[in-house]
Amino acid sequence: MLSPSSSKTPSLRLPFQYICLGLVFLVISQILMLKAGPLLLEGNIRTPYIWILSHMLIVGWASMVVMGAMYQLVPVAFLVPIFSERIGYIQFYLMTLSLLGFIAGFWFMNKSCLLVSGIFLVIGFILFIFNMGASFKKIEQWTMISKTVFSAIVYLGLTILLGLILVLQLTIGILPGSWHTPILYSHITFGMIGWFSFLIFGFSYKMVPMFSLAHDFSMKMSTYTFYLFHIGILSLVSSYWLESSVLLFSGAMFLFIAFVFFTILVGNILKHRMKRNLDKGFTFSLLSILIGLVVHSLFAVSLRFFLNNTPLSIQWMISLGYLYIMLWITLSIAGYLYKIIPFLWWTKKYSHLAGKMKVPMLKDFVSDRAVSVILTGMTISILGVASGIFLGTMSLFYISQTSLIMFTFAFVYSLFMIFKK
Amino acid sequence: MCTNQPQFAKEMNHMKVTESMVIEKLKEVYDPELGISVYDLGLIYKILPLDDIVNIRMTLTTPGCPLHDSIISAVEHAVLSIPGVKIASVDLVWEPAWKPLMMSKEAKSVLGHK
Repeated sequence: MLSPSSSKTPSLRLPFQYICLGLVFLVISQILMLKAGPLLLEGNIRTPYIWILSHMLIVGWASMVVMGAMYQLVPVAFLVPIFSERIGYIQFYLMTLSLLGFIAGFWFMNKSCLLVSGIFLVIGFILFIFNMGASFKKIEQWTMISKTVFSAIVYLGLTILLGLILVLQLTIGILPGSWHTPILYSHITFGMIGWFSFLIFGFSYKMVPMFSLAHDFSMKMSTYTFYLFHIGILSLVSSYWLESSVLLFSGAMFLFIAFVFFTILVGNILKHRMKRNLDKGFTFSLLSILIGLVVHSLFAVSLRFFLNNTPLSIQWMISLGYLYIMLWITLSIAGYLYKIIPFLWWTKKYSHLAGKMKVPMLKDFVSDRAVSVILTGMTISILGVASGIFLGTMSLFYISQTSLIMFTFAFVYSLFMIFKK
Repeated sequence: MCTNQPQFAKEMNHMKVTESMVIEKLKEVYDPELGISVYDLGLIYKILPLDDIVNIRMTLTTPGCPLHDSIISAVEHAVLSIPGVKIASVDLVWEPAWKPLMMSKEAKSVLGHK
């Protein structure tokens, strides 16, 4: 039996700082994306500009927001306090400065700036991993949820390690040149698939029942997802080093099957829900699961039937990667932010008044209609950008990206407006 | 006609606190996520008024509920606002675990159940 415990969440300033900075990076990355059009449409993605953009999006936006959310969610989900709030703050300032330096390093191709900021960025991530690891150590009963989230943290560690090696390789050249591509691909796989997907899986197991008020469902499928997704990632990474197309395809298939089990599990949770009408933001996080499933299936099929070095094939894979970042990871985070930010703000501003006077409900902080328009607009724009990249249609890319920038502004504005309520 | 306010307050303080008075107050404490009172959600297991002390045994919909502290302090504040109550003590338990069946008809209706 779980013993009653008081809330162990840290000061709300900590998650707020990470989330707000992440939102700023989301806007900047979307504006900079406009200039990336020609590079993406030509399949020329291994350039400093794309590296800046991808790190701004993956580290600046997605990782910053999820790390901030984790400082809030880990104590809630696993009933353990964060090991050190102070480390959380130090990490925040270190990562903010080093991320700016890292981007400047790529922008001006300044090797020393790249090296120094890269190392500090790594130290920031190590502080986070240490802080989370020390917090996880206090978990009394490990469940599939904690194992899944812990796996995400392990993959983050591997991503950082390989990222550091890539920076050292780029600046000093410590390893044979032939190792560069497998290291780069492993870095991307561990980061995009391992870190983010395991994290979304793990917290979905907690948040989907919480936001839909579901009870008495089976978590059996989470075990299948857990092992198959690990096998899939390891198979993919092995294929880069052994140059094996069989391992590559098998890896993609394992990931897809794991994702199928995850989707079925979420569907099963929703079948057991008490809340009939789900909030719009949360609905889009659920939609991102279906999109993630489709992207995984397309990835596996593409590897089997038409992976070659033709421009069309390259454009296709870039589009899939883009969809994975934007409609699986970003849409999922965006939807949950419409739940997380109102909750944090309510706790800060109104929780001490609850019971003494009438206070607003969480649904009063954002209009479901506005959320629906904004996230639908973002989803359609993202699909337009992906189509523009795949078809090589510059006009489609620019129109869709401009639309995405506008909806991103609306998204961030709607979230910041919560602080006025 | 002008009433004697201190006398009125004194009488209120000596009024016996009843379970129904506590229930009435608890119906004003809402789970801000669901928009349903803690009482209608079925989170309140037992109410024990003893003179100026009210003991409440309650649960939450899930262990590690993010609204843990907020809901408990809201319940305490609400009960303390009842005239005559000086101490409100909340005993949070996880056994028996909360089940949707514990909700009132009104709560189910808010969640979209006919």
